[in-house]
Amino acid sequence: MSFIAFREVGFRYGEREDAGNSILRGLDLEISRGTFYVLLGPSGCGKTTALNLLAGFEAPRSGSVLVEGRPVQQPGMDRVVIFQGDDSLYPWLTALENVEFPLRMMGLGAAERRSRAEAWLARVGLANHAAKFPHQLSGGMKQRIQIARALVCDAPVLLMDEPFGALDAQTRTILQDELVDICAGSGATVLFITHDIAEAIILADRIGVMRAGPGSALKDEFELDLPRPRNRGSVEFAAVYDRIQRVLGEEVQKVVMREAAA
Amino acid sequence: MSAAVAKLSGQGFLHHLTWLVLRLLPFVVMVFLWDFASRAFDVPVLFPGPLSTWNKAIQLIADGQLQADILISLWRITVGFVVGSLLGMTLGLMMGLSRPIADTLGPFVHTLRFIGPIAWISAVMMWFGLGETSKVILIVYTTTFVVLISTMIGVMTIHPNKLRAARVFGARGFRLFAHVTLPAALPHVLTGARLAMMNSFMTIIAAEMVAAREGLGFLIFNSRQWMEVDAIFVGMITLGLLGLLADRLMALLTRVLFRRFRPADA
Repeated sequence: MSFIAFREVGFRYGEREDAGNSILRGLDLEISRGTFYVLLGPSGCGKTTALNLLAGFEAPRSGSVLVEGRPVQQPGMDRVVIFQGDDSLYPWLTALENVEFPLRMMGLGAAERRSRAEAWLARVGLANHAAKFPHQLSGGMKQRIQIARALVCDAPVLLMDEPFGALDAQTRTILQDELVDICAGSGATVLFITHDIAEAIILADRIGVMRAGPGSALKDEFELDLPRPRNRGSVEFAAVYDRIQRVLGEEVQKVVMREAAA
Repeated sequence: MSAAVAKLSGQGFLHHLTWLVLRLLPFVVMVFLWDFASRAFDVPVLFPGPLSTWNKAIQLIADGQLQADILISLWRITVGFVVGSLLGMTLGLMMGLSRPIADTLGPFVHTLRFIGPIAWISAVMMWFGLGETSKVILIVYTTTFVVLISTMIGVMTIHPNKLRAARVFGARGFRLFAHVTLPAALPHVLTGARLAMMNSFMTIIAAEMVAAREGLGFLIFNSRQWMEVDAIFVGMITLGLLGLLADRLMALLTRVLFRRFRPADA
């Protein structure tokens, strides 16, 4: 039994199925414990929907989403989410208080909350910015707060929905490398959504490529056994990139053709 | 070191002086234009200049009448504003949180808010007489709708990821409301309250003009009967200055009490 499983998962908005509104159809996906799984796909293919189903924000129309064999019912502290952009941070709380937020919801005392949150803020390099409010920090720093806020929960599953999508290329590269370090020691199982192949290769143990929508499902999977840290300039990196690009490229092409026809 | 500090504070003083002068300038220009217009009009009784208005103000203060009018008007506004804000916030939160409540009350609220407080004056005066109750009710009425709409929009526009994150961390029901919904909507509530303050000032004058024996609205309206245009001007200018003061005071309170939640403009 795999740790996380999508079985024949279908999802659509609206009551009745018609040509355009089916997001996922027959999605089968398995993630074993401790795996860093990256889901790649062209835009609009339903990768974020897959993450939302596992997070419990949405319920599947058909099939089932299972964690340790049990269907996901609702969001929970065992599957913590890192969102794209900074909208999920609380602007009225300082960086430290944002990281403390999950611990406060857990009902921990002030002293323990503070020490655990401070430790994680330091871990993501924000020790000197604990008292600042999100609007006083850069986009990269705000994503660091989100990473600290997620990891402070010690969750067995981390869900990341293009967390670096809104960042500039340099900041993104730095945060990718840091995430590799952080996740290496945590033992967490990660589902990471992106459309950036290089990002996927840097981070992943396993990469799933999705078909173009509507009614998307998994097209192909790649097992990555390159040693970490991975070198973006290496020959091995380029070879993997090329293999994935060929599979993903076809799907992106479909999207482009369809958009041109519409 | 001390020279540098002196130089810095010297610049600070100059900076503050410029700040003050720039803000006073439009007022000074207005007084000059007013004086010019009054002389050109050439009927001082109908269009008194700044000087005779100033003298009238001194006289009204000496009589104690202006202070009394200010106090009673401010009292009516304060009571109505506080009650109306709380009421508007409560209703706005309910409508923002519950789709059925919003759907049920929405059309009713949007109809009622176009029946402005001034339209209600006649009926309210007949029901509650000329006393304080009728004025306070009108202020409550005008405040409620502005704060209600603003609060409701504040709740409805909370980014879904803020609520989703909180649900991931186990917040449900009242804790979700207290830790996320309310603080996220608070800047909108404060903006609404600030707009409602302006409405309160407009409403109180209308109410006091129609039916009152004291207050700034009464001063302005009653002076017409005695052809005391200078007293009318005193009432109008006092109103503006009080409004400015109230607005600044609210901005200050927002900064001090709600620093974390301040709207972008305060």
